[in-house]
Amino acid sequence: MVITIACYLLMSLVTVVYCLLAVFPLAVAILCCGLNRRRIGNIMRFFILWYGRAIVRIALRPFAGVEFEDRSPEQNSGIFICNHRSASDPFLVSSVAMRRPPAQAVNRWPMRLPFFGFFARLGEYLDITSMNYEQAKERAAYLLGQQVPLFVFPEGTRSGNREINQFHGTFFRIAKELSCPLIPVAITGNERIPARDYRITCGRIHIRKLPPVPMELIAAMPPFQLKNHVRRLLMDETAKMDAENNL
Amino acid sequence: MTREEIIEAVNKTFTEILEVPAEDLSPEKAVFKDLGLDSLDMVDLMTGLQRRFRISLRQNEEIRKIVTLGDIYDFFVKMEQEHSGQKPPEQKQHNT
Repeated sequence: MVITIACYLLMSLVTVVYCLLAVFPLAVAILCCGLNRRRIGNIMRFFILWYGRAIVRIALRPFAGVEFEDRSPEQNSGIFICNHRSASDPFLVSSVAMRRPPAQAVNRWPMRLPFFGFFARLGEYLDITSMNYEQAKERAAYLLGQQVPLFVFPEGTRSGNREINQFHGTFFRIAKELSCPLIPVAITGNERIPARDYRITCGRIHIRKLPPVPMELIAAMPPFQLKNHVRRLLMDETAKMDAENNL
Repeated sequence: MTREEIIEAVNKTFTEILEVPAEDLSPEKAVFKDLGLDSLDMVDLMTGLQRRFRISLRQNEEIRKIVTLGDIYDFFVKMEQEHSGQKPPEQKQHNT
């Protein structure tokens, strides 16, 4: 319980300090961009990315180290498919090295958070539960067309353990229709950072960006098989990573 | 069609359209939680089932109540019986 309280206090402190440091440069940047929606989105995603990095590298660091391994360094755009064990996953996205700040597809509830939801909306995050398929595809195409990496957690909710729940198939269909790369990203070690009851246990988090799914496979496989193929890839990889790290 | 023929036709559609192995298909399996079909996969499946059974499922609200594979069997048994003018059974049966 002490660790949990200490971690959340540190996260709150980092959040306040980051906001104080960022508010002026953010305001200047937004004013300088002429209130252009696309530029505001890029600027917000940049600030959100660095907020995530501050949380991971400062607030979380005393309690959990994060190691990132890139097995496809040349792959910087497309739809990134992540397993979803914990509420820390959206922050851990910031540890995945990218040339451009990413956007994320999220459930409705993060968008409704008083503080974070506002910035997520400005950052053009996809509120996937409030969209139909065509709207989601249009928004994804808009972001991917700007080479903005799109991070997706197709389980839709945290598993809270080492299992990978069934995948929703929306972004696999979008990848097929837009002929867009699909890059699996395996995240392990954080199922209790925090747990589903929001308690935090110290540990070590590992993130591995895998090679993209071959485009021929994306084109050839029906959507149901494609999502299950990627799910199996992530199941195999996370099991390997858990074993490698003796978790 | 008999219930067994309907079950076989549904399972065949699952296997052909979604390539779900036949041994994975049992009536108690939940469509999403166990078999992994989301709403869009259900549309693909229902399109295939419409073709196989030569019926229209457009605006059929009963589809929204489907949770398990057994519910799909019951649904098409009911549709078949309505189509052929028989009274549908009151109780659900989950035979394979």
